[in-house]
Amino acid sequence: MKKRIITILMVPVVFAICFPVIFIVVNAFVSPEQLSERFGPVINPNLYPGYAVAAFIPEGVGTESYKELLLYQPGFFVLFWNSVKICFSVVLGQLIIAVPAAWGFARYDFRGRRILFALYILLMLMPFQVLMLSEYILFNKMGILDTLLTMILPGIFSTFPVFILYNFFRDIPDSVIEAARLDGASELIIFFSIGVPYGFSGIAAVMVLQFIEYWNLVEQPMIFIDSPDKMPLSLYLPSVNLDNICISFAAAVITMIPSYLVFRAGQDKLESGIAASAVRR
Amino acid sequence: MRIKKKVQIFGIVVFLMIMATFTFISRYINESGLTAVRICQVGIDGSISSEGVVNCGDASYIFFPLYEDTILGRQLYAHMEKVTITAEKNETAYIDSDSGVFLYIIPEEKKIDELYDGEMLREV
Repeated sequence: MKKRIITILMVPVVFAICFPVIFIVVNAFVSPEQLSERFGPVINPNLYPGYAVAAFIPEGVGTESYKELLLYQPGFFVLFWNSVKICFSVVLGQLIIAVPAAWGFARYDFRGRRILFALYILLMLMPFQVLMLSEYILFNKMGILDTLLTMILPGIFSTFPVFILYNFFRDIPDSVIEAARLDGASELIIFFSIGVPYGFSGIAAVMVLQFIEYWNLVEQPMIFIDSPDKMPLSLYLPSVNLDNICISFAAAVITMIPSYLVFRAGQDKLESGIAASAVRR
Repeated sequence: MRIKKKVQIFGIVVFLMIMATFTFISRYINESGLTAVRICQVGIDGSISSEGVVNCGDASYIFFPLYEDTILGRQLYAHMEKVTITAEKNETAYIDSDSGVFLYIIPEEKKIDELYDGEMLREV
């Protein structure tokens, strides 16, 4: 009985949480005319006086929005591939830079390690708004403003994955590393044979989180990018107006798919990574 | 479990392949029969502050909505009908002049640098 009451109470909460996704998915199959009637008052109140209608059940299901988006909006694909380039470059770059950096911080004692790591944490805590101006000046000096590099480079050298992976690598018992050294394993072999497999769930978790973060990038491109053909996909949706409202919901659904697929692919690693962190604490 | 994981990872690859296919189809459809023109905003000193590409052949556009929040976007948005009517292939079209800023439409195949030859600026 108690369980049933909780379930009944939870249904509206779950619905409220899922509302945006359901709303987008349902409206992606509504005809353009219906969408204009429904959301016209929000986007162009002069042309469509009255109130917007947030209806869930479409009057007839259609795929015109997808057809319009996928066949007649080449600009959408330019932005889509920009996002793909940014995300895969950042994730790949982090694999090359952040993983060894975290390993170095966690396993080697060198002068200034603590100060350097404290700087890393300090940088991680700083919001983008604080670094925005200095980054802008730096990119301007480097001559890479208005290129994808303005999003890729800060992503590759992001301090967040280093901080997360540091805790994973720090947890490896010293005796295991010492045993490997006694067996004659080089530092590189120790890193690839012990460090990477041991921290694999952490690496996967970081990659998933970073992919999702960079897929949804908004502030950086708004500041550093001027050319519309260099924008990521996350800036396609804010450009919605009454002329292309029919494609906006379809675009939102397609924008969600990569994040969902990546999250699903790395979900178990993400969960085990979080669980491992919790157990250590 | 391992098979499920492989399917999930394969799903990302399949999705990217589908998007690549649609990219190709979309470009093929839109590049044939449409007049692509480059739009640029030229300052009074000849500097180009922003530029983009629009398809004006059938009044559809590529990057147009993204300009909405910029001065250029607002101006172009206000003059879209005019853009659609006046822009023709191989023709330089004057759109608007507002507080020392001139907007041009020039053919896609023409380099933006060619604007600096002075001819077009003098026309305005």
